Amino acid sequence: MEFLSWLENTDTVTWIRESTSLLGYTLYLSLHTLGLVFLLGPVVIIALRMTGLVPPIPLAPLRSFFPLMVGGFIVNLASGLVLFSTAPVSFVRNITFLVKLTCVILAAAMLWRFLQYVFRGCDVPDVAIETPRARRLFAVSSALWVVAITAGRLTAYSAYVISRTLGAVTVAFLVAIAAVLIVRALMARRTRDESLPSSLAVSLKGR
Amino acid sequence: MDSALAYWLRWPSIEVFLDTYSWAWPLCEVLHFAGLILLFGAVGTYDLRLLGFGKGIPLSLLKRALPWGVVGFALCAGTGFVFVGGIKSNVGVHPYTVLMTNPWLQLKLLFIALAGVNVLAFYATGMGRVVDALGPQDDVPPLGRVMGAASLMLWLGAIYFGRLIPWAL
Repeated sequence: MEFLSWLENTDTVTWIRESTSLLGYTLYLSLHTLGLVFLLGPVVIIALRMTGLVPPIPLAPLRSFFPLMVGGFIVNLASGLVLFSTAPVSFVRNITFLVKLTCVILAAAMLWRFLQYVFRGCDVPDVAIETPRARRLFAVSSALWVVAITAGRLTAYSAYVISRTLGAVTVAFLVAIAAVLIVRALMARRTRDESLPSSLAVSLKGR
Repeated sequence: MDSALAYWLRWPSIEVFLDTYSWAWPLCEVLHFAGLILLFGAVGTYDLRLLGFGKGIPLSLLKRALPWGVVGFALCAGTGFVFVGGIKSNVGVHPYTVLMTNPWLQLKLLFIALAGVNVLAFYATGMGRVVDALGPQDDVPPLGRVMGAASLMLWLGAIYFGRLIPWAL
């Protein structure tokens, strides 16, 4: 605790916290969002592929995005440490922040294991991704990212607002899952119709 | 003209909603980020493929993820509209004043508009069809790569300026 309050009051950290310069607080805040989209951008593609919302995009070439993902993670680790240092004493007492931190660590570890398993442990990622282990790892990691990002966004709010918002976020999340299931069912129906000979498709529709 | 814009920008119904439900603003923040990630995941990955990342994925296939980028954009635009239209509830400033005086909001909107122009140019110049016909390992023509780089820079810029907006309110 003594170290944290010393850190908070060092000249450098005070400058970062209070400066209105574009090299101050807002730089680290925006880097933290930019790193996030680089880390999770390719994850979105994998998620769309896994849920069947896009056709089977070949996975192996996604390897060339890994350095960008790792870069995004490092940028977020560094910018996160700077942001933390601007108010460490209150951050370590903030439950929401601690939830976020825990979820980020677990989500990143699960994502790492998923990528290792699908892209390194197997010659054909397109086959590995269909295994229950890959699905489990990816589902857990994705769920943890959702909690981490939600908690991150809510860190600045009071406990009362957070408790109210959690319900709303849960509802929004369930609506999103329902929407995905509906879209997937509609897409499956369309592909089935397309793959049938037209005369047969017409007669099936007629029934 | 100014007063019409000022009238149109302020949404008392949104203000009342935000005043009544304390979860509404933070929920929109969470959804804004979800939209951001969806948008950058679909569009950014496509742009990076134009630039030569992920060779082996045909652009005609990666294109199929773009509608989900549009879903992400719709989430961001919808929640962004709530932020601006209902901002009086949060910081007590009229949205018209914010639009006219906040340089970061202005730059963000400009970058989003330019990203829109870039998309239109991509299809209007026929580049969309050209890259669609490319094989999985093919290089994208220089103009297509320039447009991919422009899109990437414009969306990252929009995210950057977006984070600065609260500091000039």
